[in-house]
Amino acid sequence: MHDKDTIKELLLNYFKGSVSVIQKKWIDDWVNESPANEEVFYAYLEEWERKNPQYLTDTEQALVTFRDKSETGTSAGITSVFVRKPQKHRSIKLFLVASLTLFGLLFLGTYKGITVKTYRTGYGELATVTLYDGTVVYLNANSELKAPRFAFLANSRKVELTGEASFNVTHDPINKFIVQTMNGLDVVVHGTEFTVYNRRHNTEVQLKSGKVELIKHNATGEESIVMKPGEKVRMEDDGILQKEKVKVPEEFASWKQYRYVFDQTSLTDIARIISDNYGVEVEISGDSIGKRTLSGSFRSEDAKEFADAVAQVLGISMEIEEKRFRFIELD
Amino acid sequence: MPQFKTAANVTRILSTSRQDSEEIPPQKRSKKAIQDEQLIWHALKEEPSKGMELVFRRYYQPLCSHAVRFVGSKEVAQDIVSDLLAQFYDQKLFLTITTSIRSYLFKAVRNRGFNYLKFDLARKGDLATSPEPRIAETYQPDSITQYEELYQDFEKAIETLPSQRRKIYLLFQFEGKSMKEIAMGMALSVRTVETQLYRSKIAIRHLLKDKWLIFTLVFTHLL
Repeated sequence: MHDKDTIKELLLNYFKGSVSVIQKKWIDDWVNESPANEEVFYAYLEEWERKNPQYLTDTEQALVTFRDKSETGTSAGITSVFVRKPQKHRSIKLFLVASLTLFGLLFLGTYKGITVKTYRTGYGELATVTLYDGTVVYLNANSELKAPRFAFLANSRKVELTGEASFNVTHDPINKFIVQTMNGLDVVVHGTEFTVYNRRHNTEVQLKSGKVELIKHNATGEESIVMKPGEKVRMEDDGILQKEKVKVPEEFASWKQYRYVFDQTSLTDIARIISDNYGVEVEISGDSIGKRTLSGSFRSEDAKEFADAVAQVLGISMEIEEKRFRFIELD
Repeated sequence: MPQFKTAANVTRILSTSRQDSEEIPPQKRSKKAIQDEQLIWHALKEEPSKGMELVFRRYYQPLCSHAVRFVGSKEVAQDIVSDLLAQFYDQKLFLTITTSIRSYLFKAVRNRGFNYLKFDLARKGDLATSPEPRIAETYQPDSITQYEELYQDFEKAIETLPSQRRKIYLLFQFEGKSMKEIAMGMALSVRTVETQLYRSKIAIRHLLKDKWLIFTLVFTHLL
C-alpha cells in the first residue's frame, strides 16, 4: 500500500503533528503489523529527534556522571530505588488516605462544635447574648440557644431555641433571622422584638414590634401565620396554633428584670413557670385552686420568695418538702 | 517543528548546533545506523563499559530530546534517560532484549515520559515542593500514536499560555530556573512569578484533563 518513501514522509509528518486521525490509525496498524515495521518507526523517530533537537545535551558530562556512579557502585542504588519506590508510595498513599479519613471523621464530629455556639442558662439564671449580627437575645432561666459562631460560616441566620428567650433582631432583609423550636415551629423574623417560649408543654411567641412569620412543619406540609405587634400565638401539644391579643403589654418579656407580670394567669400556669425557671417541682393540692387566677406584676430572683408571694395573694398556703413546692388550699 | 518557542532557546540551539560536526548525510546514515547498532551490541557483549560509552554517545542526545517533549524539563528528561541507561547497564538488559537497542531505549523513554507527564498533571498543589511523581513503566497506552498525541497536546497547551506566562513557565519548567532567579531576571516579584506558574499549571492541566487525566485517576486508584 505504501512504499518506503511515503512511509518515511508520513512518519516525519506524524512526529511534527501534522497528520490526520485516519493516518494515525494507519500508523498504529502498520506498527503492530510486524516488529520490522516497529524498528523502522523508531529509526525514523531517532532521525527526527536528531534533526529537531529540543535542546542539546552535554553527553560527555552525562557519561562522566554515569562512569562515576557505576565505579562507586551507586548505580546499583538507582536500581533498588526503582524497586522500592512503588512500595514507598503505596505506604505514603495508604497513610494519607488513613489520616485523611480520620481527620475527616474527627472534623465531622467536631464541626458542629466549632461552628455552632451553645448558650445555656441554669435555673434562676438569666443571660443576655449578643450574636455576631448584632441581634440581642435575652435568655430566660433554664434555656438553651444554639447560634452560629461565625458569620461567614452561617448561610442563614438560624438559631435553635429550647426554653424561653426574647429577641431584639437586627434588620437584614436578605438574610432572614429564623428561630427554630424543637416542636417544629419556626419563627421567621422581619426585623423585630419578640419572645419565644418553647418548653415541654407548649410553644408561645409574643410580638412586641415589627413583623414575624410563624411556620409550622406538619407531616402534611407547612402552615404559616403572620403576626402583628401585640399579638401572641400559642401552640399546645396538639400542634394547633392559636392567636390572641396580649392584654397587658408590659407582660412582654418582663422576666428580663426578674419581674413577672400576670394577667388572670392561673395557678397551674404560675406553677409551671416557677418549675421551669427555678428547676423545682411544684405541686398543687386540691382541684379548685389550680384554676384560680392572678393579675399584677411581681419581682423576684428567688423561687421561695416568689411562691410565698403567690400563696399570700391567693390566700393559700405553701409548703416546701425536699425541694418540692406544694400549694395547699386553706380550709 | 514543535519546539518551545522562547527566544533564548532558539538561539541556544542555533549557536551550539555546530558542535555536531560529525553529521553524516541522511542517505548514508541508515546504513551506518545498522552498522552502529551491531558495533554497539558487540561492544556491550565484549566490554560492557566501553559499549555503554557508545550507547551514551549515540542515544543520550536524541533520548533526552525526546523525553523533554513529555516532561517539559531538561533536568527531569536527563534524569529519566540516565536512570534508564543505568538500569540497562546494571541489569544487563542488552543481553535479553529481543528488539534493537534503539527500539528498546526509545520505547522505554516514551513510557517513562508518558507516565511522568500524566502523574505530573494529576499532581496537585505547589509546583516546587511536591514530591517527585513515580516514574514507572507499568502503564502502556494501547497504541503507539498515543505517545505523540500526549506530548503534542502538551505542546499545544503550553502554546495557549499568554506570552509572559509562557516565558516564566518555560524558564521554570524547562530551564529549571528558580522562582527567585526568574523574578530577578524579569524584574518581577517572586509572588507574581509564583502566581503565573500556578496559573500556567492550572491552564495546562485544564486543557489536558478531559482527554488524559481520567486514565491517571483510574490508574492511581489501582495502585
